[in-house]
Amino acid sequence: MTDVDRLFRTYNAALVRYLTRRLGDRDWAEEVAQETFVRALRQTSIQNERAWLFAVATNLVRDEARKDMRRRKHLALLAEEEREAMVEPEETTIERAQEAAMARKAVDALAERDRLALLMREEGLDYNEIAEALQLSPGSVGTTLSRARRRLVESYEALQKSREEREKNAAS
Amino acid sequence: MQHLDEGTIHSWLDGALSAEEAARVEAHVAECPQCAAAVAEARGFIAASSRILTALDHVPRGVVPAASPVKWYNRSAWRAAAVVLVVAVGSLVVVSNSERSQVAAPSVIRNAADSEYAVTQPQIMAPSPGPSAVSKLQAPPPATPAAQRAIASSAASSNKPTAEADFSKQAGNAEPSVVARERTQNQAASSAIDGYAAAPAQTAGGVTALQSAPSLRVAGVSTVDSASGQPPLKVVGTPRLIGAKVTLYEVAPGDTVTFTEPSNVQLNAVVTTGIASAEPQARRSMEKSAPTAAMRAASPSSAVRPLQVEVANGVTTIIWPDVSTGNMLRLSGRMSVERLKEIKLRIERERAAAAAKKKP
Repeated sequence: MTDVDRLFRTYNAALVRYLTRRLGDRDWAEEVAQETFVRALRQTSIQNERAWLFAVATNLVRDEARKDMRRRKHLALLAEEEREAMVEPEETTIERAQEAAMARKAVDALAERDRLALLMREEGLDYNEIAEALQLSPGSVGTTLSRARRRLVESYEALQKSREEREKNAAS
Repeated sequence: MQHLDEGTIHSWLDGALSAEEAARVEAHVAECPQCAAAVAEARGFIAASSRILTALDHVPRGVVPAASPVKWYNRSAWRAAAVVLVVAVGSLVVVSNSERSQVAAPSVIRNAADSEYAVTQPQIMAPSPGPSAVSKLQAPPPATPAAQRAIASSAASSNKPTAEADFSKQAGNAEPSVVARERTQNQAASSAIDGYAAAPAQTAGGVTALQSAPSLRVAGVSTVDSASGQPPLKVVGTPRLIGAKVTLYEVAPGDTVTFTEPSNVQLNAVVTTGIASAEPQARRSMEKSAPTAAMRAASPSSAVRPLQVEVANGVTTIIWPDVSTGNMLRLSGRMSVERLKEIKLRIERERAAAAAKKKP
């Protein structure tokens, strides 16, 4: 039986961050992380813990996302409406929120495999772990990551540019 | 060597290459400006994407709404309002009752003043208000005498929890033995708190308890003595002895104490009818008729005599002089002296309260 306490302490923070970035919802991320550890509890042994946990969490997200995609879409829409309607008192908060929204869009624009590889890499998984979790060949991880990074940065910069243009138009 | 592909550069920067491969890449980058530029660009992408991903961490919690909304009566504003109302009603009742009880004639049922009707509307009638129900609710001021008589009498018998309780209340129903006002006010405070804890939305919670005291006007003089005490001392019997009044209190299930006081009233019955008027004669009568050796030994003038303790056959008896009359009072039971002293304090409080009420 796996030592779940230790697993939790070692990996929960990274897993929740990974899932939060993947899902855009901290509560949901925590739920999925918990479910992941519950599944770990049922395993007699896990070879590569980190790769296993990230793989299971990723699969859980995929399964659940499929299940309630419509609900999520609706909620995301509502949340966006609310954000647009809301007037934040502090400028820094606006900026932050705008950055977060752009980052979200840029990440969402990536292919699923690129996105997951990148998020896992950010949590410190090495190429072998990413390959294992995503069932890729280890040799393709570098290519996947380079593509993901380039696309993420390019789309973020594009969003930033269009925002600056909007602001310029609004000012003039 | 060919130019480096982007994947290899990222692998290298991520430290994912073997030592051999890494050395080869490093050598190439050193002499190939084009690849060196690609490496610089890759470093930029790595740093930038990390930064972008960090922005994702600023997500608001709870995008998904909570499962069930908070019930309206659990909202703090309502709870606070309920407390205020309970306290307000409680103090109104205390004030009006303490005024009334001064003028109340014995065994007269007085209906509540109109103003009090207003706050006692949601009345839940306890169908058969047992002692436990009453004590749990910490009956607020006006109910106190009645409620405790109910407790005492339900033990004694002749219990009739009746429709009489429909009188919105018999608050000022002050018999000669109404409990002291200080206690009443203490109880008002505690009942307000209890009411809040138990039934936040039922603002009339405290008031409701008033109704749960059945309008029993039982009473013998002896049960009257038991009216007060918190938790009230339960009178389970009043065997008569010549020259003394004996009250059996149940302090815990199956655990009784015997309280004996010399009965001046009986000895001086010709001229005295109440404790207040009996007081001047109390000492003399005690000297003449003290029923026990212990009492005889007691000097009537010493109000601060130490407590005497007798132990016989597992029964502990404490003997002390009544502060106001000088009579020797005895309390005995199968329990420790400390426990008896505790009960003694309770009895004394009750007696003092009763005496204070009776004095004009």
